[in-house]
Amino acid sequence: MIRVSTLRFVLTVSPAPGWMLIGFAGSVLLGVATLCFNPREVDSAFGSILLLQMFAVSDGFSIPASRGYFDPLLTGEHSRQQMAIGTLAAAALPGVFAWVLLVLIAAAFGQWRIVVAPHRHIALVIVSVLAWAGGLALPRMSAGALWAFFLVSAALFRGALAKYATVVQSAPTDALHLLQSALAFVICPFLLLGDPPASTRPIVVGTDLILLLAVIWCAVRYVERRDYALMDPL
Amino acid sequence: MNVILSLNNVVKRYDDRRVLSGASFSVGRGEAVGVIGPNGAGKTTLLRIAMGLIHPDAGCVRLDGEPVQAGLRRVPVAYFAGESTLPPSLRVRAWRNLFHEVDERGENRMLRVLSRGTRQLLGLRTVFSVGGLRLIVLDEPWEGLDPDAARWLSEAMRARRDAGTGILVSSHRLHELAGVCDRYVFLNRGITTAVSARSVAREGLVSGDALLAAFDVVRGRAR
Repeated sequence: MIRVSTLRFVLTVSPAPGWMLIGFAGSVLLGVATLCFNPREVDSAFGSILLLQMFAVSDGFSIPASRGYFDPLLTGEHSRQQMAIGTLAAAALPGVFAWVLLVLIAAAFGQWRIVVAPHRHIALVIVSVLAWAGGLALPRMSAGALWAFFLVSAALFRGALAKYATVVQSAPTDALHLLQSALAFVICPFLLLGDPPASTRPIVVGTDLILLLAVIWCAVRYVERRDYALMDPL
Repeated sequence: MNVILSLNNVVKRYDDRRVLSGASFSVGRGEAVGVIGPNGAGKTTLLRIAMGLIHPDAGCVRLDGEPVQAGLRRVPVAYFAGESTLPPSLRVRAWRNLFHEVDERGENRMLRVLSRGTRQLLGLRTVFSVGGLRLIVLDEPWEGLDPDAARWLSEAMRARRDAGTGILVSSHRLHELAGVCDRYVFLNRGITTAVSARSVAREGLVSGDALLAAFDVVRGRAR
């Protein structure tokens, strides 16, 4: 019965929390300050947007859907595929907006290396897709929290992490190296912000994009096939 | 009568528990069908299967002759499962805007601060504000409504039914059901038994008491 787009419905019914929007605004301001005083460190502002995006996109679709909040959409004219992609777009929108704003500001400051480096933007795509897909069946922000916890834990074991992270410090020479580099960027997209040699190879980021398409396909199938039985309200 | 919704031998299990064991019934255009059953009988599951929200383990659900998922894209339907399915942190105005309803009062309160009955009425008014619906599915719609609102709802359902919309409604409020429905589906132990209003009529008038008696007969048979 609903005739509005999936994007508008999800943005209305399940919007990003206010503090998250303030966080994104703060990250953009941090980026502007960095561009004014130390342009070489602007990646730290992009990193903070990535970190917030981890939490913002893991919006826990299944739980509000099982409370019946998405019933008008699930019984409407949109297909489940459209709905799944719509929820991804709605969840990713605030972070993407902050990212694009910072990229435009960086361009205005003459930092063209940031604007034209596709691997940086792929870092945002990786975070958006993986945290969204991982969070479909979990409570809101859980996927982001688990991912951040994993990265912090890995950072604490610096020896093992440093050994693994070196795979991205050289251009891949064989298929195994290529796969390891691609996986390293998927597991830790923050590595893409540092311009490591592997990140500039189209075959590496291409492999990452293929992995992301596979993840999106699995997530859409999950949304399609899942049962939306009613659970008790809050 | 053209069938708008049909369920045929629908089976659904949750873990080892069989909730539906071959449920079959249909809803025609301009017909109101009531679903009656004890608590935990699977009425909500049945309605959500009918709306394609739950996949049956066996059997088929067709909406206007098509599998329900495909049918939903083409056939305008409305489903309301009660006030608890309204997002609590949404504002009244935002909810109405989603359905292109005109909010004359500019109501800006969050849904969570409204009373249960007011939320229920808001959801129902939204359903009946949408024109051109071919099927309306309501789960316990009279719950929490005051007598005036309950009367409005019954009249709205009858008006839509008479205009050709199929209506499927589940409720424990047998007297209200009796005032609206042409046919009943008794759900007990996962099995549906369809009964026409005429067959439960006593003295030419279908009443809640007659429905209760008919339901007791069905339950007795199932035992």
